[in-house]
Amino acid sequence: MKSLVKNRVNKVKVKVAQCCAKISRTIAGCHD
Amino acid sequence: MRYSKYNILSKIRDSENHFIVNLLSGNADILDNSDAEKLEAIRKGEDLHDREFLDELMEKGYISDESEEKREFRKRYLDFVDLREKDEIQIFFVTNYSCNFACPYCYQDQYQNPGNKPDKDVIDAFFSYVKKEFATRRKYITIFGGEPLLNSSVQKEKIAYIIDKANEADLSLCFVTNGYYLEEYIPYLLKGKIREIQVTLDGTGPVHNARRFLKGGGETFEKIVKGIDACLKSNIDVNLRMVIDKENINSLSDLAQFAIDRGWTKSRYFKTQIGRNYELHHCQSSPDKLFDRISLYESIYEMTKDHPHILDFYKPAYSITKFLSENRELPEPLFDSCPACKTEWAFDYTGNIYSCTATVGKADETLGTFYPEITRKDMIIEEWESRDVTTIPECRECSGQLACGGGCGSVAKNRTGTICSPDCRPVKELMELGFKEYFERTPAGAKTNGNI
Repeated sequence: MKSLVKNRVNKVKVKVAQCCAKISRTIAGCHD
Repeated sequence: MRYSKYNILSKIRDSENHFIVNLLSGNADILDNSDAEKLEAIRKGEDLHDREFLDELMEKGYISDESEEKREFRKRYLDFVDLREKDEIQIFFVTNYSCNFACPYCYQDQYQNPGNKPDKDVIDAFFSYVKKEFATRRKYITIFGGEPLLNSSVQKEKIAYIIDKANEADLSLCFVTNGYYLEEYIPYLLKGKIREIQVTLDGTGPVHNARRFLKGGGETFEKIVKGIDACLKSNIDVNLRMVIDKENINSLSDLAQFAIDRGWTKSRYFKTQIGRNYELHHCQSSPDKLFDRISLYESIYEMTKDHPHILDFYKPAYSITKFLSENRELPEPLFDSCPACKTEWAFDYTGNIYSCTATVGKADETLGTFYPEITRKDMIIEEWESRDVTTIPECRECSGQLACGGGCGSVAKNRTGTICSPDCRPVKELMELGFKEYFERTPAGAKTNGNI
């Protein structure tokens, strides 16, 4: 297996990343 | 120990490899065929004696103890709710539902447009409600329509007043506009704290003009382009939206080239988004021209093979894969993708309150009033507030729930009649495309512009 996340093992808290809602949140397009 | 119910395992598109993603443990891996077969066997409950492989799966949370995973889910859910309560709220204000365009696909075309006076009392009541009800929250206001930037003196006076009130309250503003009179509005916009202007172009000239024309006819492309140029020159952020269906998707490549040639994609004030043309509230006259969610992105994926410059204009998120490639970590689990009544509210000039942009203006969706008096339909508001993957029964056993977040509450309600019902996103299929695009076709960590 090739890990795609950096310096990560299970249960290590990542820094507060933007959640998907934030990523996909557009001004008027969040309903799609 | 058992196979985690949050694993999303599938084959990468046009590849021999597979991927596995677990948003609860925060891990993502690419697997060769042999490892994928071992994982599939574990998923089916078969015994596996490869200790080293099992240890790695355990360490990464792909197999886990059920009660421990439940505890972790609960903890992360509480973190999510906590963070969301500190998150910024987007507050929409609709100044009018009237519009100077006659786009055939408009979802507001059946809305009524009751009397629309520049009533300062309503605007004052709106700002007063926002100040009181959202006192402790970070927030910004998005002006929405209809078309808010119409070229009448009455409308300009109204927009100028809103900008003054926002400045007074130290709030930044976004505008969603068709962009036709953007250039005329620049002097007004420069007086406010403008966060972003969303403008729509559906292709280059002929394609755009055939879809987004003036009421009574008339081309709009050239004038909107001038408006975008003027914004960028004035350091005003532009979020360019292209609404796509099967009739104009082939213009994506041309519009991308146009934006590149015009210098827009090099501007720090420019970003893009794609909007799918779809049936939000009622059937369209030609439903066969519409893409479903996955077929739109499959088409874009195919197009970028022959026209890679599209990626300089717009990089699809393909669920979590773009984020993963750019950050080398997964986003936080998405327990809820619907912002309605949580981080989004909508208000209109008639004094009504709604949950979001999808419901604003629909008579049967009002949640109360802020003018002439304040009223609230608390039971319905609570139902909107409660909607997430823990309250939508269908989400609970879905492996994609923490990438999907249950989708849009308004779309779900239109389909099922119930707010707490799912609007499923094809997250696994999107990831199949994204792992190819961002981890096999393009090196991970490649730079991107500011698109969404």
